Amino acid sequence: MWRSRLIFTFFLLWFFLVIGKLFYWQVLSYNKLAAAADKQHFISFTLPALRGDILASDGSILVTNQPAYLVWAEPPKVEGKKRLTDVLSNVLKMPQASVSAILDTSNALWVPLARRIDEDTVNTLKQQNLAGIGFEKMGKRYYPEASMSAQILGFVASDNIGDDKGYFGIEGSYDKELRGRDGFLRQEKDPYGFPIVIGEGERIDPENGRNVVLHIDKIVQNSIETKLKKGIEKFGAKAGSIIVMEPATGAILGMASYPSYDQSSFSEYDKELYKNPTVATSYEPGSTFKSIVMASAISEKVVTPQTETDEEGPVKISGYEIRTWDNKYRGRINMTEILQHSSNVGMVFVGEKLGKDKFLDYLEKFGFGQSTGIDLSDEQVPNLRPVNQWREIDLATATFGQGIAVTPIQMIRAVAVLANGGKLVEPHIVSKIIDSFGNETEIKPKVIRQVITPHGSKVITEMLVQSVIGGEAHYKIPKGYRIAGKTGTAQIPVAGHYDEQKTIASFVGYAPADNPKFVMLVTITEPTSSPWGSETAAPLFMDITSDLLAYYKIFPSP
Amino acid sequence: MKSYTLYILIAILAVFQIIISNRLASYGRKISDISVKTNEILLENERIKKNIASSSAILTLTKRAEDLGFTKQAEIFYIDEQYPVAQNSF
Repeated sequence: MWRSRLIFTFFLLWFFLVIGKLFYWQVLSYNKLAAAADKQHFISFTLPALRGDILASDGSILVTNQPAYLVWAEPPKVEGKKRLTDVLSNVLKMPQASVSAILDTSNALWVPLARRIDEDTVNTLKQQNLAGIGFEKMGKRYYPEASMSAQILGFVASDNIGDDKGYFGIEGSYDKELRGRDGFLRQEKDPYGFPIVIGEGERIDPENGRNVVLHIDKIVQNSIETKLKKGIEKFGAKAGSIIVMEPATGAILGMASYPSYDQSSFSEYDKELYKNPTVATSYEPGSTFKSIVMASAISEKVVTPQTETDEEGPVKISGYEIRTWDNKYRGRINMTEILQHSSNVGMVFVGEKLGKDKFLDYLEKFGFGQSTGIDLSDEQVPNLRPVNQWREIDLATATFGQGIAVTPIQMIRAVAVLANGGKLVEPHIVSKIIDSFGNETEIKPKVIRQVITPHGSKVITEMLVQSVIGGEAHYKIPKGYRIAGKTGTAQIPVAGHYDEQKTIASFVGYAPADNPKFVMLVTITEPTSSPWGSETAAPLFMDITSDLLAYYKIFPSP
Repeated sequence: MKSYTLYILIAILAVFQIIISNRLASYGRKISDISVKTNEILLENERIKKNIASSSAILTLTKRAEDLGFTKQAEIFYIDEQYPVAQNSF
């Protein structure tokens, strides 16, 4: 009896052992075994999406893709390590110690060596027949215009998980549209690795990135970059910028800054250069701001071009003395002459006529203290003084553009108001986006609000034309054209006071005055040949204007 | 007789399936070859696009123009339409 019970117990135990083992393989190890089986029977890989191109206004390429590769190594399969290290170090231009350290990663079956290597370099490596070294295609950007427009375009680099991502400029702002969406392929394979046509499979096609078309005109951009660089050298300046914009629509036709960087080797440059100074840095606009204040006063009808005031001498405000730039006082002058002679004393009068409340109201209407909405990710907005902190002296100095900080893009957008009948527009770099099927999404011009009256716009334009013709400086004005504009020479604030020597020289204007095709702002930082806008920024403005008028086939008046 | 017809039909269909499956089995290699060729063509497209972009770049065109002897126009002349360049004289 006990023997049969013993045998029964033995079989029962064996039964539970088998059940347990089956449970282990079929339930606990299910995922591991299913993955192993999947790997044996299926191939799966990502179908990478091509990043979209960035195109100029004429459809020509500013940024596209070029063939490039990830070079990787399988350390266990590497042969002749010393020779391999030498070859890789020479061809990839990497330090031998770095290559050796990567290949010495003992636990790794696969290690990446170098990213975004061009085809010619890869072909050189392939010819060496290096065991344990492989290549995988990856994206790399190509800039046919070299470093032109670097601060507009931005660059592409790897993010923290190794995927491509756009940084700064258009690559950063429009990264989502440009990157597209990778696809996926999973297919049953035969023992030779070939796909089985009637087997199981799944495919999601990649969606290539969209192309982004800019308003930037390549000819205009090249012209302003070349001339800005020459101007910086000629005037012995530290930095500078130029923006050219269509006043009616806010389309940015050209945008240049110096110093800049080369986006194809961005890591070799100071990170501070990645930001676009036309949207990311602020300055005190100086006398160019007089055009805005005068336009506000004209629109409010508190002054007319013929309104007169006395310019007998310096004006005392709250214990401070406000002088003219040249310390010359002309007696009875009208509003047009205030702009022609860039009279700070005259502008204080205008500011008093306008009044603090109206002045601050117009500051806001012209868009100061607010984002312009331009489609660049690095825009900064300098804060305006809170309303209750404006003292009499602050109002006085602000009328001639000191004690107030603006960005170049805010300034040019405000002056565009004077040029286009009084409307504040939203500036834009991008004109349309085209998907991989050819469908276009246009980014329409946006008018934000009416700031000054159309009549006010016409009056201030005429005053600014007179300011150019009868101004203090005698720069060469293109013959036969009416150009509206204003010079500016602003002192630079340093540690609570203004530097005696250093200035930001600028000129802002638009042409042809009666039907402006473009508005342009030129700023030159710390010129050493002369501190004055009339002797640096103004001649540069007129030189570029001459070219632009010819380029746009705008004929002079007889 | 009817049941034999059915069996014969099934046998014929089975043979056909074997033949077709056999043919399809070799298509995997062809598909793989086509895939490789497609990738090569796409890569060649990328190269050509890059070359076109490079050839039409302003820097390239400027250099080419300089090599051909073109210079920047020193002054631009505008011809007034009131005064035609040439006139008939009879």
